[in-house]
Amino acid sequence: MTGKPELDALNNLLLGFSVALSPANLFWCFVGVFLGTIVGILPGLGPPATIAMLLPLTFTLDHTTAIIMLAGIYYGAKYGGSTTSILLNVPGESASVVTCLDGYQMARQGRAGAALGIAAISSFVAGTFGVLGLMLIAPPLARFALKFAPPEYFALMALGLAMVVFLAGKSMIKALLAMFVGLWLATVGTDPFSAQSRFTFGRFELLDGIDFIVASIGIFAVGEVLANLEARGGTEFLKFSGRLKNLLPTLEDIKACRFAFLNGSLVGFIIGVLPGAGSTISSFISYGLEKAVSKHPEKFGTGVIEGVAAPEGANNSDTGGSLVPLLTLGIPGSNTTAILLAALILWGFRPGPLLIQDNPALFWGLVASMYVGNVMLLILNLPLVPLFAQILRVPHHVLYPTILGVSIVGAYSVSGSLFDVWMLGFFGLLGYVMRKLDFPAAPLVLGLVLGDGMERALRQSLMMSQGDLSILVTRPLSVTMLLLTLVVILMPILRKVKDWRLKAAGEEA
Amino acid sequence: MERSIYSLSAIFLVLALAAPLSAQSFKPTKPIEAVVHTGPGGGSDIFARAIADMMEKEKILEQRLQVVNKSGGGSATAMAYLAEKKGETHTIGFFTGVWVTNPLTTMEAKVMIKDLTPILRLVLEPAVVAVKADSPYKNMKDLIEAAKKSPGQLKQSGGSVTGRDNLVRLVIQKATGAKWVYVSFPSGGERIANLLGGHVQMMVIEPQEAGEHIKAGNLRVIAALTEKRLPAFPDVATLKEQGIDVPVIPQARGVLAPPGVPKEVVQYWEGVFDRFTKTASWKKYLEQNQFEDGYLKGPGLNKFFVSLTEQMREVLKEAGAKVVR
Amino acid sequence: MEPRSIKDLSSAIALAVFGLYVTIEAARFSYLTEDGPGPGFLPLWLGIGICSLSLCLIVVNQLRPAPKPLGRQHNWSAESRAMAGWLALMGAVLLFPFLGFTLCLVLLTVFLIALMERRSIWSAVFVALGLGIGFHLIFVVALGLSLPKSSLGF
Repeated sequence: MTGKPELDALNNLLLGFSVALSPANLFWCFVGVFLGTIVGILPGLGPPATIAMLLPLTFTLDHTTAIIMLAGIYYGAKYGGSTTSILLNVPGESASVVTCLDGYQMARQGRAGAALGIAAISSFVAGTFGVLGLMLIAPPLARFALKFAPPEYFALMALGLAMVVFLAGKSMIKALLAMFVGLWLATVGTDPFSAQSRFTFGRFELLDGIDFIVASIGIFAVGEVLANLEARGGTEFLKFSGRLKNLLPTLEDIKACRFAFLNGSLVGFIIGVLPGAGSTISSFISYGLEKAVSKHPEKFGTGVIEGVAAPEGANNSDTGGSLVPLLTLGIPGSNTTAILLAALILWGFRPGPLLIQDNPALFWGLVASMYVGNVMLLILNLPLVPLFAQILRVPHHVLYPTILGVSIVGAYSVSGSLFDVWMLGFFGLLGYVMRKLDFPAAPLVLGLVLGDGMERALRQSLMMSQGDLSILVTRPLSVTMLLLTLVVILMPILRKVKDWRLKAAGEEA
Repeated sequence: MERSIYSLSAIFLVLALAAPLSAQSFKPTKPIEAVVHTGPGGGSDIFARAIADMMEKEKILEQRLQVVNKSGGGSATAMAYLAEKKGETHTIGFFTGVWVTNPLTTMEAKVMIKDLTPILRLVLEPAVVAVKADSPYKNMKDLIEAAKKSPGQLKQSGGSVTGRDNLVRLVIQKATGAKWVYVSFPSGGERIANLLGGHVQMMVIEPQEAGEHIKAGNLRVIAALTEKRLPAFPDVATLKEQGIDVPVIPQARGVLAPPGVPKEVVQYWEGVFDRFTKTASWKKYLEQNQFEDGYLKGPGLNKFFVSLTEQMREVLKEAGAKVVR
Repeated sequence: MEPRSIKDLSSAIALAVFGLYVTIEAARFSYLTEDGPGPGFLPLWLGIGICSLSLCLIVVNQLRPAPKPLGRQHNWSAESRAMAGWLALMGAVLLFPFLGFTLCLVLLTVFLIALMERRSIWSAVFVALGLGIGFHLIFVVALGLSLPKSSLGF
């Protein structure tokens, strides 16, 4: 390719669109998005499982069409995951857990439509950003990502864990306790560095650790059902307002989310580029960031619309991000991209640095179809939002058993084992007890998700430095993130000091 | 006397005719469950699906081969699942080296290969030692010398500490006296990323994974971990040729069945794979993926497993890993 | 200032005991190996952290002013309803290998509706059957997920 890079990019994009907008590819992209959304709604069936399940459908298709369909499924599944998070407090996949926090509260206040709508819009904005990023800055970004070694990952995980500060609610001690329990849950299983099993109680099902989806469905959904069983079918807590205002986000809502769109797009994309850093951490960090810069942070957790927009954006723009290492280096950035990689290999493609050069139609067709997929997702789902919101009109004596049934199916389908359903019951009880004792659930989930990665990164770093702790603080990238972490941790303390000073000044006056 | 000879021959004739008839008495009547220990997209999953595809194309099997993912605890879940399906004739499993080593180090992995019914070994996955293309190490000698000069400074990225990557490192360390660090990463992507980013200096990698990066000029292969040089890398010497005399630790892949499966079923599968491994698709697949043809069945296969288990036990013990069986 | 809470006290004590368990178990593993922190490293610190935090919680709780006496016993009926629901769920899971998913879901739904919501048994059965059939159609037939089956084939 010669000539100015901007022209090249434009040429390639045109080539891509000519591929993506062909009737066959458009149709199959639509099918992918549609099926992906439906299956993604089912808890426990996140994008990796969805793609694996629907992969056989693509065998009869042309390869470019097939990968376009798979990308559509990926997007659809991501969006489907948010729907159950908002309506039923059941996280559809790991990255939708944060959406439960404010999204479900919005649903309880009768604003389910607005929450669903902003999720769709934010996903669209951020997803488009992600595709733009993939298109324009993929190679230099990939080189940047290679600079990330275990010390940087450790700093990133530390920053992620520091987000507990934003999830704390009333009692910081209780939030920390919940997080520590989550971190402990993360240690259950085989220790990869010494091949010893920790806290497995002799059960081989626990060798791989506690499945995150089972734990979060248990704590959130089953716990919620149990808590609601207390009141004897009395108070109508799931309000539903038929007014259009609450069926879709209003203009004020969208204005309030301006920063959230940017936040989600950037955070999700950058973290998505790093192989091994999932979209879960990006959704937590963007939520924390949104709360940190908000003018009304104390309202987060009670149904604030930016609290839905930010994480939803983050877990969509990371799609584009995780494709960066896959397409430029042949390195999958996440579970889902690993399956895409497997599919490409099965069809005879060799993803690697040469994929783009050797198969421009495939790569640019994929990129262009991601634009198309994003648009389709928006068009498909916005009108469906009021329909989805109708779910809340279902009387709860029908709703609770449905939630329980869906939770069981979700837990069972993780690995086809009844053991996971027992774990679901255990976590359901835990979620209920935590609710009764006023312990926040989000920090526990945060600890569970990040604990493994953090421990790994710490031990990998110390292995690389042969025990020299300074490796963690002598590298510029990791130092920057660790300083950020420190700032985040100190924020509530500083705020308390400020409050004290104000109170003292007020008393003197 | 004559009469008894006639009747004896008659009996022999009948038996001789009946024997092949009874051998053909097994034919699958529903889709075959093919158990793999990885999730969708994992190595064994891709391998099994590729074989299922090729079998359909070459019309070797009357029934469909249905891949079933039983991932968890390395191979523990898959092996436990197969052990429960005692006598089930329509289930097979695709094994790898992990199926041998996992029960040796993990208390909870109670099922061993000897508790199942091996059918045959299909391929041996070779591996190579790769370094970054612009690194100063052109062969194993450079690497070993550098490691000896600064012990514990060089780093290798790889998978689990009981996986082949680390076992290779341990036997080489023992044979040469060099010492370097092993950093474990759960995903192949991270291993390669760390190598490309210069955070580790080497890794053990399968040739088809390395292929693309080598073509792009990012990686250099400095040793082949095989008995003979690899056809795709004719200029790359084996460890033995470079003066490092260590046993080759094979990564084998093959097929086995649940316990208590009748002999006819084993013979049926042997027949199927006999025909399958002669097809053009299979030969092309071997070439594309740079697998070594490791076709082995019957008593030779059992001997292979016994010696592999012993070898693994020894290497693991020397590595300081806790061997529980 | 918030009053002292028996909830916080009991949860803190329970967590302290748990933290102690984790610390003791963690001590069984190696804290440091020649390659860096061993498998016992993080669990040990987690155990210590949990113990310390629970003690903090106890202290903070005790420093609060004493609560006003309630004058009546806490009515456990709400909690017992929730626990009954949980036990029903566990029972259903127990029966999966014998009765299959669909039947167990039906039974669980009947229990939850009839006993929890005090509706007529017939509406409970009606809803339960509807749910059971719905789940079976969507998950087993349409999506082909393999859910636990009973000897009746569903």
